Amino acid sequence: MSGRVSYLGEFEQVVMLAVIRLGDEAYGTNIRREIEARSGRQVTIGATYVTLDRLEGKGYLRAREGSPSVERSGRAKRFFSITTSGTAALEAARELQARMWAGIRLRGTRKA
Amino acid sequence: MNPHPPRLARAILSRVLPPAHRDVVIGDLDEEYRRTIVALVGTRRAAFWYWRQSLLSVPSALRLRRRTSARAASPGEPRATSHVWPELAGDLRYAVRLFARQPGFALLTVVTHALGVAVTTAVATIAYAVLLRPLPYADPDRLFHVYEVDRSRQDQPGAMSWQDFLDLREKSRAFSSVAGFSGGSRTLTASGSAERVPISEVTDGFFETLGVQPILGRTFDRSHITPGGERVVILGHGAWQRRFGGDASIVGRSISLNTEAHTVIGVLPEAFEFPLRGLTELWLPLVPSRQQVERRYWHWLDAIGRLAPGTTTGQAQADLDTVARGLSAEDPRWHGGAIVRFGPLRERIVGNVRPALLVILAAVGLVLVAACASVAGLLIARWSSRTHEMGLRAAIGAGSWRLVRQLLAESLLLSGAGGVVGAAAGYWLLRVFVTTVPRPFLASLPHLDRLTLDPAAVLCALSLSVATGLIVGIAPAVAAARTSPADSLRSSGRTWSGSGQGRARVALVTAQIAFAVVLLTGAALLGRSMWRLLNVSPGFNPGNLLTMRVNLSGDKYNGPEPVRQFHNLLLGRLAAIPGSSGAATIDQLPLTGRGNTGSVIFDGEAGAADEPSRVVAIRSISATYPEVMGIPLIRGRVFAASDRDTSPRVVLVNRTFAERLSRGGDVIGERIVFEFFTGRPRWEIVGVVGDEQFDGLDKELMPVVYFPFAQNSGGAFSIVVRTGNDPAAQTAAVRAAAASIDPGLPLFQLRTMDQIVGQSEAVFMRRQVLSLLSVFGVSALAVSTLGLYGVLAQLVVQRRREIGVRVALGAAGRDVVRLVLRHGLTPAAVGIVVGIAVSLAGARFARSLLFEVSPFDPLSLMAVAVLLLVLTLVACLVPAWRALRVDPVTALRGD
Repeated sequence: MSGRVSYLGEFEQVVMLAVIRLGDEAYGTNIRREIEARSGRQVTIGATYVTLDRLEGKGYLRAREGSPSVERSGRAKRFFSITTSGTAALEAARELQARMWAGIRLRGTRKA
Repeated sequence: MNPHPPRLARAILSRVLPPAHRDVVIGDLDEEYRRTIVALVGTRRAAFWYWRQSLLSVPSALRLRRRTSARAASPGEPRATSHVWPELAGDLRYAVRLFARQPGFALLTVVTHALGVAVTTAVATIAYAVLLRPLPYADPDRLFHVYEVDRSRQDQPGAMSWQDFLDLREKSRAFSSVAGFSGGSRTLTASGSAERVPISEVTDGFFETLGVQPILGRTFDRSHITPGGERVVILGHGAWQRRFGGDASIVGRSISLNTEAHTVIGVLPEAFEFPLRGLTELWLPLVPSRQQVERRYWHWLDAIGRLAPGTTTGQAQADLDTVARGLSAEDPRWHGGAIVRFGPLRERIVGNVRPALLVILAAVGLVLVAACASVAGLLIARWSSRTHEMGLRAAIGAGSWRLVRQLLAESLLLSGAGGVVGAAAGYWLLRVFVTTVPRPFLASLPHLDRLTLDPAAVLCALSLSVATGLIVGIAPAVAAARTSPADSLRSSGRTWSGSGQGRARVALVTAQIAFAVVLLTGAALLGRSMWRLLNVSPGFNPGNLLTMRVNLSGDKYNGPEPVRQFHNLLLGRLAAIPGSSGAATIDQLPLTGRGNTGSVIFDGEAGAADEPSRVVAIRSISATYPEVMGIPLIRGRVFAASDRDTSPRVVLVNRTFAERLSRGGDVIGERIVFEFFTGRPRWEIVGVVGDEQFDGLDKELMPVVYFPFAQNSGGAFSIVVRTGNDPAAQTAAVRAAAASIDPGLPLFQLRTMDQIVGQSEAVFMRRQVLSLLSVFGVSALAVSTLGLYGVLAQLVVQRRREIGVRVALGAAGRDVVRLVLRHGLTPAAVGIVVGIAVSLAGARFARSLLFEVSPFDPLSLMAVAVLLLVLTLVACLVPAWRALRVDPVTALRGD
C-alpha cells in the first residue's frame, strides 16, 4: 500500500470508526453494538466479521487474540486496532467526501 | 442463573463458520447474549435474538468461508466451491426428471413422509406447549399451588377455608406472597340484554403473585376484599375487546353484574391466561360472605403462592407443616389432622392430561419411525430395480462418488419435499385441533389458545426427514458404488433373498409390523376401556335429557321465598311443554364433579368431625328428581309436596350412604346433623335411593345426602327436562317457559345429558387418545401389509426361474405355496412377537388411561395377533397364486 489507497465502502468506514472509538475494547460484540447504537440499524455479527476480515486483509486493521472468559463459553476474543495505512485510508475517504461535497447545497431535499 | 444460548442455533452457525473464525464469533455471540440481551429482554426473547443473529449470519459465514479458502488455495488452483454447486444442481435436476417420469412412486414416498412429519410436528407442538413451555408468568418455576390435603379423597389436593387461607397468608414465611381464588359466573347486563359470563374471584395480591400487570388501570388491594367495600371489576383482554370494543377509556366506567353496578378498575394484558379458571372473562375481588368467614370447616378456596427467593422446597414444606399444626391447635374439631402441602402450579394445571399426552406423543413417535421405515422400503425397492442402470452408468465412466451423489440427491429431494409438505400439513392439523376441541378443554391448558406451529418442532421434523433421507440413501448408494459394473449388468438381480437389499426390506417390513402391533394393542386396550366405561351405569337414564342452569340473584330474588316461587312455577311450566314428560332440579348435575360435600354427624354422636369417612356429597333436589332421572327408590319414600319449609326436616340418602355409614340397623328413621345449617336442625332420613355417579364414570361412588329444595334452597341450580324425542329440539320451548316467568333471566350451559357424558373428562380424554391410536394403528397396518405384499411379489418375480426349476423337477403346488408363506409368515411372526413385547413393556405407562382392563389383557393381545396373521395371509395370497402359475418352460427359457 504505497501512496495509493483504495476507496473505502460506507460500511467499511463505519466499522473502522467504531474500532477507533472503542480503542482498547474493540472486539466483535462491542463493535457490533457500537454500530447498532450509533447508526440505529440492525447489524449481524456475521456481517461485522466479513468486513473486519476484509479490512484486515487490506492491511487497514490489525488483529490480536485476547483471553477467553466464562461468559464467552471459554472462547477467545479477537481485538482489532487500526494500522497507519488504515488511518490514511480513512483520512483519504473523508477528504474525498469533503472535496465532493464542496459547494453543494441540496435545496430540494432540505425543504421536505 | 446462567442461561445457555440456544444450542441448535449455535451449532448451525458453528458448522458454517470457517474454523479460523468459529471461536471468536460464537464467543462474541455468547458473551453479548449472557451479558446484555438476557438482562434486557428476558430469556425467551433473548433466545429469539440469538436465533436471529445466528441464522442471519449464515450468509456472511459462508462468505467468510470462501474468503478463507480462497486465501489458503494457491492462485492457480480452482476453488472447491466452483463446481460442486452446479453439479449438485445437475443431480437434483436429473432426480426431478426421474420422478416426473414415475410420479406415482414419488407421490407415495412424499405423502408417507409428510404424514409422519405432519403428525409429529403437530403433536410435538401441543405437547411442548402443555408440558414444557414455561407458564406465562414471571419466574413461573417459583409458583406453587398450596392446598389442604383432602383425606376423604385418597389424600388428593383439596380446597381451603377462608380462615385457613388467612392463617396461611399470615404465618407462612416460605412464600413471599400467597393469594386465593375461586370462581363462578355472573349475569352481565349490557345494552338491555343479559348474559351469563364466567368470572373468577381473586384476593388482593393475586396478579402480583403471578407477576402480571394490567395494561390499563390497577389491580385489587386489601380494601376490595373487605365486605362492604367498593364493587369493582377487572376485565380480561378478550372480554374487553369483544364486549367493550377495546374502549381505552373503560377504566372508571361502571358495568352491571347481577344487576349491581361495578366500577372497572383495570384491563389485563392479551397474553394473560389462567388455565385453572380458563374461561374467565371478568375478574372480581373475592369478598367472602359472612358464613364463609365464620365457617372454618367450609373448604372452598384455592391458593397459589410464590416461593420466597432462596427458600428450598424442604424449608417450604417445614413451614407449611407449622401452619398445619397451627390449624390443628386452633380448631381441633375440624382440623385435627390438617395437612398443608404444595405442588408446582403446572402440575396442578396439566397433571391429569399428562398421561394422555405422553401416550399420544409416543404413538406419534412410532408413526414417524414407521413412516420413515416405509419410505426406506420404497426407496430400497426402487433401487434394487435400478442396479442395471447404475451398472451401465458406471460402465460408461461415472465415478462411484458420482453415483452415490446422484442417489443421495434423489433421496434428499424426496425427504425434503416430504418434510416441507408435512410441516404445512402439521400446521393445518393444529388448526383443526384448535377448532374442533371444545373451548373449555382448550382453555384449561396453558398456551393452547394461541397455538402456532413451533419453529423448533418444524425444524426438528425437517431435519429428521432429511436425516432419514441421508441414512436411507447412504446404504444403497454405497452398495451401488461397490458393485462392479460387470456384475450388475450381467445378473440384473436374479438372486434375491441373499442380497443385502432383500434382507433390508424384510427387516423393514418386520419393524413395520411391530409398530402396527404396538399401536393396535394400545387402541385395543383403550377401546376395551371405553367400552367398559360407557357400560358403567351412571345410575340414571341419560337418554333424552335436556339440562341447563339458572342463577337467581339480585334484589328480585332476595331470600328463599321468591326463589322457591320461581322454582315451583318453572317446574310446572316445563312439565307442561308438549313433548316433555317431566322436569326436575338439582343444585349440581351428576357427572360434573363432586360438588358440595359436608361431614355428616348422627344425632347424639360425639367425636372428631373431620374424619374422612364422614364426608358425603350434598345435593338439593326437587321432589320430582328421582322419578325424572329414573333413579330407583330402594326403601322408604321419596320427597312429597307435603315436605315444606314448615314441616319436619327430611332427607334421602343413596345406597352407598346406607351401606357405608349405617350404624348397624336401617338408616331410615335415623336423624343426622350438619354443622353448616344455622340452628343445627336434625334431618330425618326417610328414603334410600339408587346410586348416581357424581364425580365421573371412572371414579368411585360416594355417599350422597339429598335435601328437598323446599327445605334447603339456593338461587343457583340446574334444570333437567325429560323429553320424548330429540332433547336439543326442546331448547326454544324451555327458554320460552323461563322467559314467561322472568324475561330478563338468562338460561346457560344448555346441554343434553349425552353431551355431558361425552365431554366429561373420563370419556373425552380416552376418546381422543383412542381415536388417534386407531387411526395411526390402521394406517400402520395398511402400510405394513402393503410392504409385506411388495416384498413377496418381488420375491416371486425374482425367483421365477428357481420356482420353474423346482416345478420342473416335480415340486408340488403345495411346496411352492409353502415357499411364499415361509417368506411372508416369518417377518409377520417376528414382528408380532416384538410388537407385543414392546406393548407389554410400554403399557404400564398408559395404565392411568385404562379402565377396568389390565395392561396385559390377553383378549386384546390375541385379537391384535390374529388380525395381523390374517392380514399377512391375505398379503401372501396373490404372490402365492402367481407362483403357482409359473410355467416351468417359459420361466427357464426366459431372460
